[in-house]
Amino acid sequence: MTDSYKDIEFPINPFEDVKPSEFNKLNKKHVTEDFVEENFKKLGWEVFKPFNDTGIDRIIVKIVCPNGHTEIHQNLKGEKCPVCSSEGIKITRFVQVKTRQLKNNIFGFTLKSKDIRIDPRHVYLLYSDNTTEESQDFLIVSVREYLSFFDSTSINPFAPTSFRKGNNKLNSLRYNPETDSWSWGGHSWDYFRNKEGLKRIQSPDIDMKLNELIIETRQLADKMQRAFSRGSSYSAKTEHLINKELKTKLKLYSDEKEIMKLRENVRKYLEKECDSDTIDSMNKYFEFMKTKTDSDEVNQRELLREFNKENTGD
Amino acid sequence: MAEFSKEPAYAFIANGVHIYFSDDEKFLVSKLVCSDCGDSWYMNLTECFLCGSINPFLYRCSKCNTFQSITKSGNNCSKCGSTELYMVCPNPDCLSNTDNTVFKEAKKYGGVFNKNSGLLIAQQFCLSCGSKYHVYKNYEIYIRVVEKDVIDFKELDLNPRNLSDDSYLIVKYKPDRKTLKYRLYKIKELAHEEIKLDNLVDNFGQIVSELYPTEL
Repeated sequence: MTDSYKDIEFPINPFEDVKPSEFNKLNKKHVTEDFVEENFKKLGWEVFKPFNDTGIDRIIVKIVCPNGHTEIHQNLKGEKCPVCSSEGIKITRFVQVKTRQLKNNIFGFTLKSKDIRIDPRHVYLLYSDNTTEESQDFLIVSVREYLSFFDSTSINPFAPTSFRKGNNKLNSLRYNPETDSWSWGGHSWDYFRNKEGLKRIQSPDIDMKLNELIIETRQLADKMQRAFSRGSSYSAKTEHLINKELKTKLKLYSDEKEIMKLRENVRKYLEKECDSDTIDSMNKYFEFMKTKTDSDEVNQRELLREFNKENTGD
Repeated sequence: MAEFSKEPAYAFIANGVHIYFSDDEKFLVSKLVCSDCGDSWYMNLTECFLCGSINPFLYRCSKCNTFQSITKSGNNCSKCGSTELYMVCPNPDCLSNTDNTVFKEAKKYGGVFNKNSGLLIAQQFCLSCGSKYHVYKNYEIYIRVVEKDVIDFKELDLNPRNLSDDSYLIVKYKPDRKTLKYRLYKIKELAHEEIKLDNLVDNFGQIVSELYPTEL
């Protein structure tokens, strides 16, 4: 094993017979996830793949020194830390992979509100499979750092209605071939790139301070998501009213009893307003929706067709 | 070495738990749950962005005000025949219902709970307790099928190097062709050489409930 992570190439193409740039949009799905998997395995991570579609593309697990002495290519499995003799701790990351081909040096992708999990172990891996014809890049960023980046730069891609509609294409992540660097809206993203990004997500603090960081990530998510930008869909008056309302509600719903009270009132209101068939049907469909995975491809019409088929036996 | 087995994987999936497998026999089970009460968290369910009401999957007719299920509706209201059906927020006190401008503008996109409105958001509050915190809860699972009700730990053939605090063993007890019972063990607590299988349960769902208990 190499002594220093500085000597390691990451990512590398594990499939010597084909270049990543040879695949097209339609046939690259599995190979890109395998590409990611093989690269993590090479650096000592144990990699788990989903049995069915779950919205998480890989779960990666490693044993590291709690004092941060484990380098990115090491795994302490069954051993103590060679630097401080501490017992290793297990770290787990939930990886959501987005693979895109650069267009005009832009990495365009979409994140939806359901992709914003507040468990800080949730990681986005943005895989640029043709940064150049020969080279690929991983931009690896935890949900907390992703939100934090936007908070600190005063960019808010979560405010437009398109974010909640699920079609907010983000087109600001840019590769500069002249300087060989990545940026978002003029702010550097090089510290999420390849080994640098990997080093950040390997921090044992994420697991050791999990509860604390969940609260922090929630606060960041609320701050970024509880904002409304009207775009061309709504009037300035509506934008003003909604933002005022969101501010009030943010305070109100920091108390979980309030949200439960509101939901109970709505339940009673619907029971009063609806006949029993409607209530039964509503409850049935709600339970049906709970069984659905986070797959992106299913739309409402398809779900209704599936629900009706299951319930009528067609 | 035993191989990954599909049988328990499907049993977990049927109970709302996701499965992730690796190159060896053990697999991970994972579920997004409420940090406070442990109830399931569903990122594919939606809430009103403005007030936090849960999507009821209902249409409301704007002519006669009747609610009706989206599963039963054609394009017309079942009561008055109107085609003016909208997926409005069911909370009468929501800004989308109390303010006429917001109401009208949301209606243009089919109502708050029509995806096109941009006024709905993935689940933010626990359905059971209202908490706004969620977490992934995972376990490493090993499966062993046994015929005897007393087993030697060594017979289980588990490599201590691979085990961690979240490694669990599910024993499938099959003494004959008709019997099938289960028992869940935290592997690090299996200190005894000999394991007497007691407190067996009859169905797999009970094992899942032991791993994912809810406080409510």
